[in-house]
Amino acid sequence: MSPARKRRRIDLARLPAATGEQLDVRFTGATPLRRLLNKVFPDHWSFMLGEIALYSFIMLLLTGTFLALFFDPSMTEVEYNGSYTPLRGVEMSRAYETSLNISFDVRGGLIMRQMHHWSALLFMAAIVVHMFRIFFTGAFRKPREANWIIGLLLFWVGLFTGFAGYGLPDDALSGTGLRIMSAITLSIPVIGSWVTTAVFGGEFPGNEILPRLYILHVFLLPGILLALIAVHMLLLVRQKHTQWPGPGRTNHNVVGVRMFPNFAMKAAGFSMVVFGLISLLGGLIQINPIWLFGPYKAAVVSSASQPDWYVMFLDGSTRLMPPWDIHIPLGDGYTIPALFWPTLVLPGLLTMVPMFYPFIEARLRKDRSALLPGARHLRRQRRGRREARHQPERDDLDRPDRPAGGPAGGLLRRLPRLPGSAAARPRGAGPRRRDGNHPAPARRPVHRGAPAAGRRRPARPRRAGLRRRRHPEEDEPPRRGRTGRPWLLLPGGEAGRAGPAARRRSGVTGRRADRHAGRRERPGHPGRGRGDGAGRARQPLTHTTALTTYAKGPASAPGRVLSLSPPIALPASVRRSTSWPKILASVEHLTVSFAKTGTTVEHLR
Amino acid sequence: MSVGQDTRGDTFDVDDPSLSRFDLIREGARRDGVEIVHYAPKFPVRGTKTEKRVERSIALLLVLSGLLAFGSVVAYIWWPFAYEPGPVASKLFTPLVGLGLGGSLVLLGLAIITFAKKLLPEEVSVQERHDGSPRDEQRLTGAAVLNMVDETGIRRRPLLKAAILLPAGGIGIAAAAPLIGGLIKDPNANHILTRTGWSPENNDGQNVRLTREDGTPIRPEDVSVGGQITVFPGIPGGATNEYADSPVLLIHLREADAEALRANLALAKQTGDHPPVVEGMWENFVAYSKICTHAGCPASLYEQQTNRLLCPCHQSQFLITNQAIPIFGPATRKLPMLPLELQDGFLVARSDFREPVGPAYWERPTQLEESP
Repeated sequence: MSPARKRRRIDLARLPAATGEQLDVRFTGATPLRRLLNKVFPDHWSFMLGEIALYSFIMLLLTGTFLALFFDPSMTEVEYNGSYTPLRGVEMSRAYETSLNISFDVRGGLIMRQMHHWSALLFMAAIVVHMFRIFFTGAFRKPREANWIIGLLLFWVGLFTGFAGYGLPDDALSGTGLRIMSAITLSIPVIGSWVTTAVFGGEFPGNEILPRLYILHVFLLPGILLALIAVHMLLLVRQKHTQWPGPGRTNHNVVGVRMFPNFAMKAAGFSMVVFGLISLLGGLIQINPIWLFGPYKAAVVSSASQPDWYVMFLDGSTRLMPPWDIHIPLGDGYTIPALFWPTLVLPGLLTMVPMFYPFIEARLRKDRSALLPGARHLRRQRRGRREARHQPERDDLDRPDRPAGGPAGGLLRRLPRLPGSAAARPRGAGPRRRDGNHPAPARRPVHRGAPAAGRRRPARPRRAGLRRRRHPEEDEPPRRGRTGRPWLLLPGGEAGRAGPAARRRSGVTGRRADRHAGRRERPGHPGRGRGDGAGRARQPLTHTTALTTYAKGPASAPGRVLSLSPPIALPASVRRSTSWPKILASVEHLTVSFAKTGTTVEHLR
Repeated sequence: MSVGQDTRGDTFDVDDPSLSRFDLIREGARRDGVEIVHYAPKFPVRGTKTEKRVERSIALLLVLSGLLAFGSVVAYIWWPFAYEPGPVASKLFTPLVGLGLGGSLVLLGLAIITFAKKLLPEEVSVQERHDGSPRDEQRLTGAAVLNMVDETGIRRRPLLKAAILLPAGGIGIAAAAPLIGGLIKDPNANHILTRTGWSPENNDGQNVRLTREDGTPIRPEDVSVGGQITVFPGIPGGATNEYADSPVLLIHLREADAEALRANLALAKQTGDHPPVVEGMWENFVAYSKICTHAGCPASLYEQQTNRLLCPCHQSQFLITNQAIPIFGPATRKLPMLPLELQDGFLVARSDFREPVGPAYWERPTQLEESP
């Protein structure tokens, strides 16, 4: 820019261009930045659970940095001479002394310590509840297996970080926890005693365990957590949120608000609330009053020795384990301590089973698309299915979101059906498509939803006003969300609930929406879309329904639409659908034929 | 992916002066695969009563938040802080600071959320998921990835393939060696796991006295009948964590309980228990290791009426009148007994424990030789 132009007053009209230009010149960032700002977030309270974990983690970093300024993880014995009179003159480690100093001599140190502890509890709690949300909505399925595994690792790394921090103050509880830890490492078969002496630098407790825990707690483990969180978020942005079903919501879109301004502002407010609650907890509710426990001594324990809540399941498993040492009468005799099973084997299982669960489930449900591409190919070859060769590979791509089968879908289906339970729904029943928006072509003549002979009843309506039909030619494409459970989140699912709330969410409100609803839910109305021939369905003609029909295929494969009648020129891409309402206003009906399946959807005004 | 650059079909002149800011935003979103389906101000008519009311409530939240924040700072600076015993004002320091800070943050958060929900335009946007690259793209990428291996020609050069394994493995091990090697300590050296502070080795071959935490030795008459006391080896640092395996519970049994224990010991000896019974009682005194055989916590809760020791960590219970065998909970072995003796009027340990103290491990010996 020339100096002459610089001196000019700011030209408001040119401001967008100038801002973008500066961004692009320096960072080549104009397009990526805009794309980030425009990212659409679906709106649902359950998406906040992960956010709580994120905000607690930020709080952990902030308060933890403060604590690190005053804490010394040394195990040198000193005589306490601080403000807390009851402990004056007591021999203790420097670590415990500095923990007491933080609590009594550093102004505001106690609230920081308590906020740090509360944040850790909240962090783990948010992770666990978030994991439940992910699991029970099926959001761990393809393509999100990697993020599920990262989430699981976050839980375990968080647990170890928390445990390391629990051990640092060197109060009676810390030391007892470490002592149990040493017993656990001792119980490892064959190498247990070597591992224990390696960890503790000799005999328990030694002089090295606290400095080692400290570097783990403040550097190594938080670094891993940060890296995992970064990848977690990156994948989230790449793959986008799952979303609850609703009109206009498909497997291929996200309906919600853009990051700026709506989402960012709500998130900012919510983070402040989380920070505020942690501060209130840290200020008002006492946690881990280490000065009451005293320094760690091997002979001292309090009657209520308990770990933090997120380790309690291991504490419980340890208490429940029967006293069964296994003795191996070889040589001098060897022992597998009973402690080994509840404290090492169980956590191992609790890591491995959830980690592989997405793949186990895909296998149990014979969900070939979720397997590795190579495996799928091999299976096809083995079966010698000729049509497999004509099966376009796109099939893998246009179902990035696995249908939600409900809680533990594959496994539950193998359980006996309980009347009225979520598991009672037959597998082939397909989703509750009350919005009736879909042309419902069957991709393959035999779909996975077909009931096995004698095993499953055909679907029966469970609710007044809801008719579920099954027709081999015309059912839901087998891949889509196959659950009717209204409380379930379908990842990008299409099984729409056309309740007023859903309509409100989708922005289709008012008389138009009511008209849809009426058409959808009135049994026997042509709008129900049973059609009069194989693969014919009827829909009301509105922008939303036409768009949904049209969008059944991904925008990058528009060849799927065979023809439109009348032959109007619809935009080639759904993305350029802003002009749809105008175009659709000019026709009285619209028929969309699909090349691949031979199905037709009629839209009538 | 080509989203964003794909502007075929429509011509959009970003410099068109007739375009509004929102037109630009909509076009930008469109190029990002986002369709803004609905975007309307919450209050189409400006300055209505409702809008004013919302503004006022947000302002109120903000003011309260700010006041609380300053209040928190005031408390931080001027509220008494130093610890004093008893119910004094300084005990309120942390709650006051927390109340101010937390209240301020919560109110600020509520103000922002109210702003977002009540004043920001309501919006419904639809973004396309990008279901992946086209198939040919995937193909090309796959080829590029596989090419990395193929270009090296390593597959048809078996000599190199074999030779490369050696430095790969060697450097890997060399890198890991300092870490692992630096950490390794032989658990068998210095009898780390089998010897405690009670070994005469720690006391120039003399039997080790039972002492209190402050190091004073113990006469039998110091412990009343039915009483118990935690004792430590009477050696330098014997009561510190350096000898974390050594704490022992010395119990002066009542006559009947002592008889029961003697009977049980005799019975166990008769039936040939393994490991062999330690006859460690001195008169009616018995001493058990305090370190739980389950996970190493101190099994220190002495139930005088039932003659049980309870470990508070995992609720194992040991029966004092029968060699401290576990009778409840996850512990599998009895607490080791310390053989007692009287020397010069003080209680001493006749020898170290005759089995390893504390939790089990793989190569744990069931019996230890009596050290000379």
